[in-house]
Amino acid sequence: MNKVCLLMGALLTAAPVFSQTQSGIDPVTSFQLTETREQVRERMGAPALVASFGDFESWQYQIDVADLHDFSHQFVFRRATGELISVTHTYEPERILDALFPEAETHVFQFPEADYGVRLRRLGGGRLLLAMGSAKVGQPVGQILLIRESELHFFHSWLKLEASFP
Amino acid sequence: MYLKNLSAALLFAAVAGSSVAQSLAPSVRILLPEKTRLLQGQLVDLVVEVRNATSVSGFSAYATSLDLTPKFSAAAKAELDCNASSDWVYRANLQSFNSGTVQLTVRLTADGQSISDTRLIQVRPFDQPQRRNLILFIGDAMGTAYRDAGRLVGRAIVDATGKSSFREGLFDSLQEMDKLPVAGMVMTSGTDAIVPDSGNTGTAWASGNKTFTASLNAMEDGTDCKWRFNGQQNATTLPFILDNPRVENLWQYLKRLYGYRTGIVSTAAITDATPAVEGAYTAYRQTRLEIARQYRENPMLGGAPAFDVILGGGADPFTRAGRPDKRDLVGEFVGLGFRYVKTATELKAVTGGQPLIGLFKGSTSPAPSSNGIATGDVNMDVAYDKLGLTRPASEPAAALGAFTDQPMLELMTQKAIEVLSATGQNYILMVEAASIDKQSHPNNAAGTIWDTIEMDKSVGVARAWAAARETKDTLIVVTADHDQSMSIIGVSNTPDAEYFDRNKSLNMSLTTPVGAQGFTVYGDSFSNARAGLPFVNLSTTASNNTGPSGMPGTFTPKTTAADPASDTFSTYSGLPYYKMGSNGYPVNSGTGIRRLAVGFRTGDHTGSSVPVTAEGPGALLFTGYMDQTDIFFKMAASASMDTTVIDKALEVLTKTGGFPATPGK
Repeated sequence: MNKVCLLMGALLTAAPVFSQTQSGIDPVTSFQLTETREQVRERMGAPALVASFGDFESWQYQIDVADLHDFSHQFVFRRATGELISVTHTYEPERILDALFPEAETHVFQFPEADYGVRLRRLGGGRLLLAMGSAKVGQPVGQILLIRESELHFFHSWLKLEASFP
Repeated sequence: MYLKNLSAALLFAAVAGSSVAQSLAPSVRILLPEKTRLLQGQLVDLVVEVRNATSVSGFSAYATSLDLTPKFSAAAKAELDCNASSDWVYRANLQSFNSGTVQLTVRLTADGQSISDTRLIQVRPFDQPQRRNLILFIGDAMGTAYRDAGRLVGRAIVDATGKSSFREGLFDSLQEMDKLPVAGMVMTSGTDAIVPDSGNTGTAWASGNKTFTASLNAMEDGTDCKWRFNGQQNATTLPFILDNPRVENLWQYLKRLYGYRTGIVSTAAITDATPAVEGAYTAYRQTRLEIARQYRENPMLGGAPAFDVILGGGADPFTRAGRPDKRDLVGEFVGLGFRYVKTATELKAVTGGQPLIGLFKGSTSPAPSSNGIATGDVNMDVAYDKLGLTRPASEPAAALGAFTDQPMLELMTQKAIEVLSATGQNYILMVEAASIDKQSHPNNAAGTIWDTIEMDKSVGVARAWAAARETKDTLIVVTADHDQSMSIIGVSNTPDAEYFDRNKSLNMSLTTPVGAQGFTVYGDSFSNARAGLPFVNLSTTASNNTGPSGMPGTFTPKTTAADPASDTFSTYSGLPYYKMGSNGYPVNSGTGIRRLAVGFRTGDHTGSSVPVTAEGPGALLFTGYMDQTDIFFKMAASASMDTTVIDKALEVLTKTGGFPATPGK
């Protein structure tokens, strides 16, 4: 009962989106990053935590996580415009998500200051999908990031897309 | 937590953040809280952020009339607020002030405009160092209900003749933590939330200042947007996690300036937030690899080890296999003269004052996490499991794995004190009972209560050691970092057949706006009540077990028993009693056990104040309501002020004055 009880709060506020796969392996990838707050709430339910920081607002969820110290999903909006700019989904435990990153469509970036790489795939609608910390086929993924390409450099300025996407 | 405080956040979610308002005009901000308080000589990073300026010049910084400008680095371009503005940062790391009120003022020219910012910093003196040992006990999440539960189980013992040590509402003997003569209440809010976590609460009592959730001795800054709210805590954002202004904690302060020996003891992974605030500086508590590194080479101590004693779980980030940089931190500690122990048996054999590191649990195969900043953080097993007791049906069975010889917290406390005191130097020690919190999150009543009892035994170890000293020079403080939502709701005579039956269960379904949700109630639910559903008592008169209006389980099978006390599906207003096991802990099974019933409103922290009790020189300082940051300053006051007068007053109040005394105390 423990785990069930533990998750009750999250389940009560979480959305049916996670009970049905709408786009391949992870429903998060079905977000177009054009959704309004209301549309996110319809799909995800009420967030466990809302945090405002500078020009941003983060909706944070805790769904199916074992570690109480972290959130599973973060939806980041620009406060002024209400634009959804990114969605992060953290996995516990990590999982293989190679189907989301077909080799022919995926570019690999290596962070120059640490043994840390990402796989990056350009989706339609100006969206990028990144497998954080997972640079190789077959390597488990602990987190995916769906983000507007126009916003990437504000958060990950080390990722120089020009070389891969001329 | 993290980063979540689920229930409270749902209600009070306007969390905060930041402060970094965006405007088109150039602006400047000193990154210190409005009510910054420091000790004389306490190190702090002075960081100044300038926004919306293509060029800056003419920077000056003064602490009242003292010119600090030469201490600052040149302006550096910065990526503040995750936007396209042109921003700058000036830094003067690890600065300190003399006592008094300091007005910190910075001025500069930005795009031709003169801009400035000021902070008033209260700097307390530390100029009469005393002969002191400081022992701080942190019961993680040990709010009042947790203290009460520990007492109601551990001090309600029936002997062989049937006589209970808790009779007619009074105890023969209170808990050790209850016996400390001074009590107060501690307010725990963080800078960003009324429901805090162990990171920002730990920062409050360790360094004397407030910060935000999950931060360890580090203040908010303009690059937090890159990682703090979007889940992007990884190797690429680590520089932005570690660039926040740091404030020195009391452990490093006393070691650096006054030669104290320092120690941490915890039943958590030793890089968890509560022990980490005594030895690390990072804005994100889950940077476990960095925390372990700072234990080994502490930034406030010029790269020397932060501690003389480290005892706990979580070996992984200290191992070569667990670290991307392949450093063997355990080996480095040993190379610096530390003794390394891995079992209770090895710990028992420790004598003398040689520095000590004991890591009693870890992963079987340590490996770095894919985020590049953490690794497995394996906590020690809880008291209930270390004692070999059988868990109630609704709690997980023990899983000690290969780590079957883990020490109890009281042994760890005893050895830490022995090692730290062996050289005759002053020392400061933090002892944490971590799983009071960690077992409360999943509503494991037995797990959390027996850990509270384990901690109380540890307090007893320290009290006995201090009492035996010729000079009464040891301050003992017992408190919590934050509260959790457990409540004392009654007692239950649920028999073993129900309590330990993992098959006896009741499946429940709840219709919610987002669909049907199901969960399971086990046979022990009434002696270990849960909050899967909100408890509602619609009755306007006190009643027990009368269906929807009864307490506490509206989802319960109803009973027709006239006497609630005879019904196994009931809590009621009686007295609990337990039997004492041969290991000195209460046992939780056997004929006639009337168990404490507790309920959990959530599986999470709350914003309620927590109790503090104290004994020893300066203990009287800990009376009344106080802010959590006061714990830091009061401990420092004990170590730096003549407390003879207040110590004498306390003795009159509690021992020699003939004033009323609580039975059992």
